[in-house]
Amino acid sequence: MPDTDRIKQNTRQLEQRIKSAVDALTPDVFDRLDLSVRQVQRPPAAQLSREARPEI
Amino acid sequence: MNQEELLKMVSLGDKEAFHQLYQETDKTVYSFILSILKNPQDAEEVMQETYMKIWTGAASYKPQGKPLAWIFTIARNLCYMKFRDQKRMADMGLDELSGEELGADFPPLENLADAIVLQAALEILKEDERQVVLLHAASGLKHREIAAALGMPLATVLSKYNRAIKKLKQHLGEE
Repeated sequence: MPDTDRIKQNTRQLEQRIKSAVDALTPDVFDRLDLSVRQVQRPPAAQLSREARPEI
Repeated sequence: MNQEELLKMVSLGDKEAFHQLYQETDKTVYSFILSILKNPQDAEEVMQETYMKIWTGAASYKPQGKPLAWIFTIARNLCYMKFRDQKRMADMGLDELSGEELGADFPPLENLADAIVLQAALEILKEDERQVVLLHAASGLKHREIAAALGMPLATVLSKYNRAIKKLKQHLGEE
């Protein structure tokens, strides 16, 4: 096998090993998330501009 | 629906959109966090905190076509908070409880060869090299996507990637 092909194949094997290891380690945390926690809402644009205006 | 649209739906409290966003990004987010913390247990904790922040703070995302960069910023900040906590524990003499040694608390993987390569990547590569390698190899992001998410030029990502792979091969005796 030519050197360049061998190098590419080695790289692919290395990438595949890293992928397999991370796949095996990646936890599924979705069910542990407390989605009843209140979400922070962005204030309406009009309110933002009022707040940004300096007081006179 | 793309990730930007999903984030918009998440900001409105849409749990299904959040689940879809989670499924599309979990490996990428975990890879990114692991590349910083180098410790699977800590990475798991920070991953959970990251998704809670995404859920609660989605409304603060300003649509700029870079949802992953926004998620990475959240994750990076939480990783640095974790480092600060660990440093505080170490200063208090409690570091023995945190299991800092890489490998000491590395969960066993079925495939030993896979584990050896990942541990080598976490041990010998610099943080930015670990990031590009894990994001490309483990989560399948293209180099240009990594460049956009990390705010780096594509040429920098490519050179870091090639240098990291070369280091890994040398370390593992494959070159």
